[in-house]
Amino acid sequence: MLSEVITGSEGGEGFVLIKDCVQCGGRGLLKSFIKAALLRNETVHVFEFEISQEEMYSGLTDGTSSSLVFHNGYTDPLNWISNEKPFDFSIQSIKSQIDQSKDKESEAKNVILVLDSLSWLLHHIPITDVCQLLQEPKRKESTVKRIIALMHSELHDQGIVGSVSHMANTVVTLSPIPEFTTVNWEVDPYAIGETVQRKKSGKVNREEECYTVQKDFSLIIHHDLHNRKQAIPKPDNTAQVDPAANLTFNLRLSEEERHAKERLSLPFTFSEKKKHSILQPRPGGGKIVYEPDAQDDFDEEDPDDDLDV
Amino acid sequence: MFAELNGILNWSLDKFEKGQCVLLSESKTDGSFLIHHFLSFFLKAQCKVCFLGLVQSFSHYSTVGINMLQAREKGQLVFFEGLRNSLDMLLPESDASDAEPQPLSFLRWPSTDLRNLFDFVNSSLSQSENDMSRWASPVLLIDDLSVLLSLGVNPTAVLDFIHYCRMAVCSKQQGNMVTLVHNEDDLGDEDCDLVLHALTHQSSLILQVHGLNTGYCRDVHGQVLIKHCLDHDATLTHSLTHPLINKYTISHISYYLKFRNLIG
Repeated sequence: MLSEVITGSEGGEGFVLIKDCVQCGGRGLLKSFIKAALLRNETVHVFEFEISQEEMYSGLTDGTSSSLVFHNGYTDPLNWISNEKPFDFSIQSIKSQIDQSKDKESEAKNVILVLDSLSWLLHHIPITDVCQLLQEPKRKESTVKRIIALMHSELHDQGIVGSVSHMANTVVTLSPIPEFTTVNWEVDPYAIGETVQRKKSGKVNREEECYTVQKDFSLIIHHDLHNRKQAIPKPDNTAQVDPAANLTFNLRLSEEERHAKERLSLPFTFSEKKKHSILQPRPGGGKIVYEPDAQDDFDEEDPDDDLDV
Repeated sequence: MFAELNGILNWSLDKFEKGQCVLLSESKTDGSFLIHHFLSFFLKAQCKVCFLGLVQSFSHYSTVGINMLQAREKGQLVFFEGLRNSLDMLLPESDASDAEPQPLSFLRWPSTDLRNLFDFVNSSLSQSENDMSRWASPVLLIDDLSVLLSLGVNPTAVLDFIHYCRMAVCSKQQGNMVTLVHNEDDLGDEDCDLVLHALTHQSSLILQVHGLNTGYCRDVHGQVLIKHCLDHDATLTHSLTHPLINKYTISHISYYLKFRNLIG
């Protein structure tokens, strides 16, 4: 499902959120989203706060592509170096920057907005403003057709991560490949991506896939993720040691020994013969004689009356 | 300087990767020996070094390894002594010091950001033409970043400071940056975790120093995990991990390569 989301064939509109973690960064996946959009000849506006323009462009374009517009929020976002106008994080500013560069183009096209990363924005502007921006693709008159944002989920409270995830039409959550994987992969997978997609009809699709981003930012999806899960217990079965092996004594019975064992009557089994021998009075055995005292109130009908205290 | 570590990183004095942001994290043990390693490495590699020493005095750092006094006199090393500067900031001898911005001005005006500290770093490392011919690429060393959090700086302000340092040193001047941060995962220090995680996302080389899980040992003090993060690069392969054990005595440190299957 991940590659369908990237190519846009399945639910291309709206807000796509990539949540990465410390163990596996999501920038490679973000770049493959951008690359796929450029190949479709769409206009991509990148608002970059974490890496330089050279790092972002490396491998994506030869620097001449006009459909990739770079907005530099990396070099001097807080106006510490130059005394020029600082980079304005506000939503109006981001929208007007998109509109300005759009005017230069001859034809009005829908644009894709890439935020790298949303974490930077969330640290510098209130979450309400961020949410307003993320609502942009839902407005009918908006030119922003799609927003793709990268978020480092450890850097925020659960509440903020939750609210942003609720706004997204598609959420891709990255997690590292478990170390005990036993499958021999042709290409080592980079991470597990869990894609959750909410359709307009209310249907929710969810799929987990292992993926690798290649040098040209195309994606390899490893389809045998479920095989991997089943393959894990296998080595445990083979490794299980038979406890009855190599014993110094015999634990198994031959057929003859089994019959002998079954014939043996154990001391606690109460056979008919045993019962009979016990109940028959034996010669020389004792006899109980009871003579009640005169004061005893002996009830013939209930001999144990005195036990009820 | 430890030749074994250089061998594992594939670094040598005349050939090492530039434009790298190196993160050192320490948990349950002391990781400052790595700071000393990188300090003496970059001084020997003839780099222009700016050292923000916020934990120890100048004489401490200079007694541990290399002769820093000589490097400072030659102009190769700019040392910022946090202990002395913070005292001067809090107990100024005269009011004249208010006239010019001080690197640690946030101590007196807590709402301010770390812009002055960045200006100090930037001006120390911006090289004149004379410097460019004498010294190799610039290097920023910070020992350690967690002290800023302890002094009451907002974690977002610390991250802004790191962002600007990374932009100025690593991206613009193709230099290197080495930062030490505590890893307080068990203690639940949210600010420290935030800075550590954010730096992990931004760093290209991570050296994690851990105490031994089995507890104190007289000969072996801990292990070092080395991670190369190639995420920034186009080649997205998984990060490599080298488990090491470091044993250090008073005068030297020796490393023992430990195979992965021996750990678990």
